[in-house]
Amino acid sequence: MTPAAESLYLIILGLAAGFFFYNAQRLVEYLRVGRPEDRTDHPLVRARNLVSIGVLQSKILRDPLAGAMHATVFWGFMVLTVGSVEILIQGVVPSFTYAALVSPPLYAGYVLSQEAFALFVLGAVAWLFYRRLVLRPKRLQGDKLEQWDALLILSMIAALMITLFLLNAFAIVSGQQAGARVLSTGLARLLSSIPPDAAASSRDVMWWSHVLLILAFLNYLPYSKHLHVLTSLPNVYLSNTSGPGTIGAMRPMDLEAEGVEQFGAADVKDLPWKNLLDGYSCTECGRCTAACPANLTGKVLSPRKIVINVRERLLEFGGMPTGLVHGEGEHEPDARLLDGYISEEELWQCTSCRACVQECPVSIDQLDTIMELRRNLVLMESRFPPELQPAFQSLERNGTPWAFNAADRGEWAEGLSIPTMADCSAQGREPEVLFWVGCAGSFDARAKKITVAFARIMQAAGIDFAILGQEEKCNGDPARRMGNEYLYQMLAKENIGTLNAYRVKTVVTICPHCFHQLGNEYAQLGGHYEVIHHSQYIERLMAEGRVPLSNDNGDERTFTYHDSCYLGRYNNVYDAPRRVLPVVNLVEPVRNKSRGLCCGAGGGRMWMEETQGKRINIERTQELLATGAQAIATACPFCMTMISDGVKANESPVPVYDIAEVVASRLSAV
Amino acid sequence: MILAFAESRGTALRKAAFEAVTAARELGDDVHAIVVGPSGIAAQASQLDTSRVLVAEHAAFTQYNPEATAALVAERVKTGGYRAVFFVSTAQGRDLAPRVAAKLGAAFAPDVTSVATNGEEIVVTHPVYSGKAIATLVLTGAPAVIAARPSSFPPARTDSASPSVEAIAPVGDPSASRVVVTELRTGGGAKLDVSEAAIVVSGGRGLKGPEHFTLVEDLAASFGNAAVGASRAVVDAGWRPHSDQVGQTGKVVSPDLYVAVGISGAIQHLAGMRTAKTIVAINRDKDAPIFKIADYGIVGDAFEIVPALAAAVREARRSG
Repeated sequence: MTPAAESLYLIILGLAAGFFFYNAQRLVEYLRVGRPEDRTDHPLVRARNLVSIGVLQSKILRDPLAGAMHATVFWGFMVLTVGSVEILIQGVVPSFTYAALVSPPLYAGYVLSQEAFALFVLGAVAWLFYRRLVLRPKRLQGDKLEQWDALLILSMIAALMITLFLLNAFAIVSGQQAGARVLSTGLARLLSSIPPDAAASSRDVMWWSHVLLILAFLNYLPYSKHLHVLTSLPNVYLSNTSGPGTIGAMRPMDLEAEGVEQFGAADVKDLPWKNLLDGYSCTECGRCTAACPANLTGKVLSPRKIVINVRERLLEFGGMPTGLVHGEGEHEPDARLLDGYISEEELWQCTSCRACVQECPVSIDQLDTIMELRRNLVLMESRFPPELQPAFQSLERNGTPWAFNAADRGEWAEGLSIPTMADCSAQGREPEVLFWVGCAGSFDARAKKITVAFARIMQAAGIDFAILGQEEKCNGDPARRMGNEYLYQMLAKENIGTLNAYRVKTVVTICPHCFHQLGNEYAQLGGHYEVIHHSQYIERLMAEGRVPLSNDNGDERTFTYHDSCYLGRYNNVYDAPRRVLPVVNLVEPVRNKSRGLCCGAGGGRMWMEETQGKRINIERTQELLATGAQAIATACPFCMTMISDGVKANESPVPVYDIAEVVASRLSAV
Repeated sequence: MILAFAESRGTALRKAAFEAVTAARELGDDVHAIVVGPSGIAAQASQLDTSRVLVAEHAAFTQYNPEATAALVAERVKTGGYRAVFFVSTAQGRDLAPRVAAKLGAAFAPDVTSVATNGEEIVVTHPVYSGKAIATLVLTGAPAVIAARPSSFPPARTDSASPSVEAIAPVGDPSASRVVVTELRTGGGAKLDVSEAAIVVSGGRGLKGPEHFTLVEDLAASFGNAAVGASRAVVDAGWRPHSDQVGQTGKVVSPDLYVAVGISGAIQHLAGMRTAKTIVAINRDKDAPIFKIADYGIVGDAFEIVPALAAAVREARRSG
């Protein structure tokens, strides 16, 4: 290179680096708009997530084909970046090569890796073009700007690989050592008719093209959804969706904090900074929205839109030239996030099923943002669907979301010789476990049968258990998920007071919502118990040989099992309910386990009307019926209600049972 | 002396007017009524079985006028030396009675189901916790403001009363009120609303199709003044409008009589009607949860039972 060219290169390099750091600093500065929150705890758990979700791409590979293509490009970039550094240094020190630093075999391996991954990336990009332009999957349908953004980036990646190959091929034609560059050598053979001088200048043209592309790519990222290239790994490290901390637990809220005037979030400044980083990290792959039960059934809620709106609003709030930022949906200029970008309607359609969080390859927490916005709606503005009023009122007065009398809570146990904790306490004894029944199990005629079935199993197994009876109250989950943190804490604190007064250590429950609350969220308010869902408890008792089952093969009918979100995605309990089912034949619906579709009742949706699109429970029931099963098993009283309604609406004769009922029906006569 | 507020709409008195009179009489004292309405309302005074009727006529009273009405009633209670003033907890009464109580700085008891005296004290009861408990309140000091629960006292309507009618003037200028009701729009046209009806007949999925709701409508018609309700399942299925839905997420009703036809009684439905005074359930499944809370249960085919029941109701009303 001539000295003039060398100076030009240094100037361009300096400008490119300067502009990049200017933008990077600006984006980091915007994050400071958000609420502070510590995300540096448990470095080992975070490092593990970084390796598994980030480097090993475990979540993106949940879509095997697109995932493999992405992983190829990702790993390709990791490998090729090492080569890019070498190429960038050669602009200043032309004779620089890693060969001088490492042993020859290692260098040969490095060269081979560059050759191989450049080809892999090129192949993957070709397929990604094909998918965008020909296959056009529904989840990738963004606006025009998003389409161009995606195609531009794919073109840039392709051009980077092509210029890399040509750069090396021309260098070989001009007489440089080929070494282990097998593919470039092949290409050089095709170009061998070019005289060495012309090849040398062609090599320089390719070098300049390649280097300028790298710098352009880097500086384009801050204006593109491909900013995720830079933010994904930090995002995975800083995220709590796969731990550390309790998975799926809502953020604690101090309602008596001095000087706090905002509860929940109405705008980006009220969200924790990590939720804003989520916006930078979204590349709009749409996996969240494709898994969202509300969106799948034709409702307006789209978790992807929520995240994109956060980014859009943040960049506008920060003063980024917004013409360059694409978004999703309409919005008012300079309006706050809530109402301006995200409507109340979208927020109330969420069932809190966690499918979006489960699917996000870069550990974005869409649900957390939705819940913070709901909290603001209820706590600050008292805005919620009118049909929630009776539920809130009844929770406050009767300790249950349905308008039933608290005094009738223990009615189901009459004549079953089940003691209450008060009885036990009066006798001066502490039972082995507390059976936490829950509101559905106490008041709903259908769910009461589950309660009785499970009580019978425990009695058959000789378990020393008691119930709270009238002293039990709703665990508070409906209130909390509906944004009413105040009401939630009122209920939770009362329950914790009761449990602690009886010195309860072990709790079993038939309701996944109670299970999650008591086991995972009560700790925030000082309640620490071992909480076991009845599926796990029955499994444990069976393993200990304590459940006297009749000596046959089990129920002859073909069963299918519907996963509860709060048991599955919130608590990773997938196998226990399947294992305890004493059935001969269990078939799986298409969506199952961590991909299971919500019944539609979570997040307080049990007490709301569902007026837009198809009903979620109908959709899910049809998936379950499509297995051809003769009976459906559930492990949650809410799922029971929703799926039973779905079966009736489909005019199907297929019965729905709780796993405890199936087990109880096989108990041998004592 | 006791004052009863006679609620009106336009130039007609409402049922609540006569219930207020009955409730007021429970104190065993001389009862006066007060009527506030547009010009022409005075002609209704003869329906009120009280010794005296105070009538305020003004064009600004054509629609309910919260501020001017409250000011006038409070003024009359004060100057007339009344010991208590009675309202009924209707939509209007719920708005008006607290306003009057606040103006008088008086004790106030809403949703009252019984009234008695104990010397100088007035003792009333009212239901709390969705009707699960009855609270007894002692109102000390005079005057007391009491609002009776709708349909808790028989309406004392008459055609032959001859009270002394006294025209009274509004306090201030009622046209200058800060709150003006410009229009009163009733939902669902002329249909009786399920949350207001004394008798509700509801249908569920057991009816098998929207066309069979004619059975339920006919049974409701046989009572003369019953409203038609529906379970969530049939509203979701699009058989009936959401305004008919009885339940947790629909209307919460508490009628004198609730007839559930082909409704199994899911928790969400029970939460909306379990406080009805008398519940009659018709269902084919004898294990249906609705029978647990029903006062009268009929296990059988709705298609046979409902027409027979409608005929029996018509017969009973004709001979009764």
